[in-house]
Amino acid sequence: MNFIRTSWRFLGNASLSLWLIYALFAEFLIGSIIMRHHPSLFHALKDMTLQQWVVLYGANSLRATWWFLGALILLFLLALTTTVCGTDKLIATIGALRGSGLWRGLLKLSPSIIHLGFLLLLLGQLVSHTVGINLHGNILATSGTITVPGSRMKITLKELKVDFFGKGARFLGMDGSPRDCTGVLSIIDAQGHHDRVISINRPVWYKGWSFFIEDFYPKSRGVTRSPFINMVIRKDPGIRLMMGGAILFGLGLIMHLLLVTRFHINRGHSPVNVFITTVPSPVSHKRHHIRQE
Amino acid sequence: MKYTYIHITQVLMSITVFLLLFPGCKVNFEQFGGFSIRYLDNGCKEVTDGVGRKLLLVPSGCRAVKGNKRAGIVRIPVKRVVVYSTYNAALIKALGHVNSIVGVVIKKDDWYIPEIRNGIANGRIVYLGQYTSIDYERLKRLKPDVVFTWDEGIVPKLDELSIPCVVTTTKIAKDLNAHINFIRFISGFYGEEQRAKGFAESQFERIKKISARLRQAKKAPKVIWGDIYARKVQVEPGNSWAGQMVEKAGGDYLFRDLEGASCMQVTLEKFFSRAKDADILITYRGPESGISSKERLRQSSRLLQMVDIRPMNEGRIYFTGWKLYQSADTAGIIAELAAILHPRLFPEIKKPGYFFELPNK
Repeated sequence: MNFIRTSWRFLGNASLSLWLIYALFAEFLIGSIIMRHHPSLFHALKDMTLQQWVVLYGANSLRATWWFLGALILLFLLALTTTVCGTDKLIATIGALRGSGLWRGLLKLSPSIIHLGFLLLLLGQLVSHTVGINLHGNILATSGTITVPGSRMKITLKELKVDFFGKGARFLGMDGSPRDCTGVLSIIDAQGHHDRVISINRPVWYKGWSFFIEDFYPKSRGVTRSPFINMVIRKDPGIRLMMGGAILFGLGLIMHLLLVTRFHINRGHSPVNVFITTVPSPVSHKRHHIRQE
Repeated sequence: MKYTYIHITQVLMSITVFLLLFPGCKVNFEQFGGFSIRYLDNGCKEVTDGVGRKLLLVPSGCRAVKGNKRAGIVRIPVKRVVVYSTYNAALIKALGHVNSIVGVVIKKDDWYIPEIRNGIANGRIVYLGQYTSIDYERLKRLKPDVVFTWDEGIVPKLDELSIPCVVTTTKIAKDLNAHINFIRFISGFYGEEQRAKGFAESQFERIKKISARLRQAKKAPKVIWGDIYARKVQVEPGNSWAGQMVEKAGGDYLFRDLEGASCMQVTLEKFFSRAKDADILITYRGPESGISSKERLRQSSRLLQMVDIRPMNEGRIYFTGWKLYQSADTAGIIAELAAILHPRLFPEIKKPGYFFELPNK
């Protein structure tokens, strides 16, 4: 019990969160340089799950990937500290809510909402990268059919039309270059046929799956051969968590802004505390609360 | 703060133990640019091609894993292959398996590899037609074990014919490292991994020696590598093997900062702002593409008639012959380029093999 309490206090330490963030900054700085020299190593991340990448690429090229693996560990620790800090903060805030009034009470909860948003963002990313599906190289010619791997869904490309810039195009040198590629995907599953229009900037979403045009052919006018598209098929179960996280994070920030500007609460705290979300212990919070009054 | 100190130590120790144990988790896996080979049990291999498709290489006589469609399984070692890319053919020749090539999409006269020229002449190798109009009937009759293609558009058709194919190009240009090591990817299909590794290492070794000689060079000539057309320009980006070869040959590649696909279109402003001061322009457009002189190049491009660039006047323009793409000897190509850029340091290289100067008229 003592160990849990000690660990909790250690993880709830505001300075630990700060050091973790500094370390992450340093890692990402170094990583941005290393990545430039090994682009293909990290491009592979988009094609496979995080665990697959770690086993295949991460472990085989530690000289180039150590910073990324280190960043994963640091992010995990940051998520832990955020959880602990957030819980501490929430307990302290709930204790101090009495007599605050509805709006002021809600606004006081804003740091906890920011915490929760941040955690959901991290969790969403983790879910996306560990259980998400990202399939490249799905090449479909007109009237061609493929089965979506791991499902009973079949996809047929019914139509495909590539538009080109005409003569006198507004952009110099773009005559005859493609302007857009639009097709009709027919999705066949147990519920029947569903036709959806797909184009470069218009992916198709269907029952948790998404279909994107990654490449297409022909790329210039006058080429005589059958056109095709190269599709990326994705299933991203983390996207809702990320969306929820982003909304909560934004909401929390706006609420906190109101807290500071309209109700003049938290004045005197450094901006770092606002964003790093660290009101470390109920004791310090009480002291702060008394000062406000 | 004592407890904090203890826990930080514990955390650091845990991370160290994790990192020490971590390499034990790794699998037998090799990656060459966007391509990879994963070595599985029973001599099977899983390869990832340039567009991210996965194929299973299964030794002849072994049973394939259930669930893989026929076009996704390649029986190895391959004995009959169709190649689209001349560079792939050169690599297969370097592996000692040029006789495995049974079909090509380049005409006989455009080949510099004698075995393939002769093969097409005596009918052992079939010319299947241009990539836009492949004779699929003939291709099917050839019964290739695999088709190495840069044209992803044939994948659906070959899937239909149950012929496995490997896309050998990537969206992002192959860098020099991946270009040389690509032989190691191809070798997985022939079971010639050791030979390929030795070949690639010898190439890197020779490039190191060229770099050592170039340390005496005082000035790096400014080089651009690209094609100027009537109304557009394309250049090799800095991440491409062509751009990186210039750097290895002691040149100052002016599009070093550019990243993208091989021979990518750039804005005219960007091109001419850099090209105006270049010492040397290397272009793919030579007599084989109807450009036999600087004069003809100027006539073929409205842009060059309007804007002047240094290589068109006092600078030099070199065109690459098709042989450039039919050689696995990348170190040899770099040596020749180094001799062009620093002739005093490489006096022994006189006869051009890959780069030819475009005369004024």
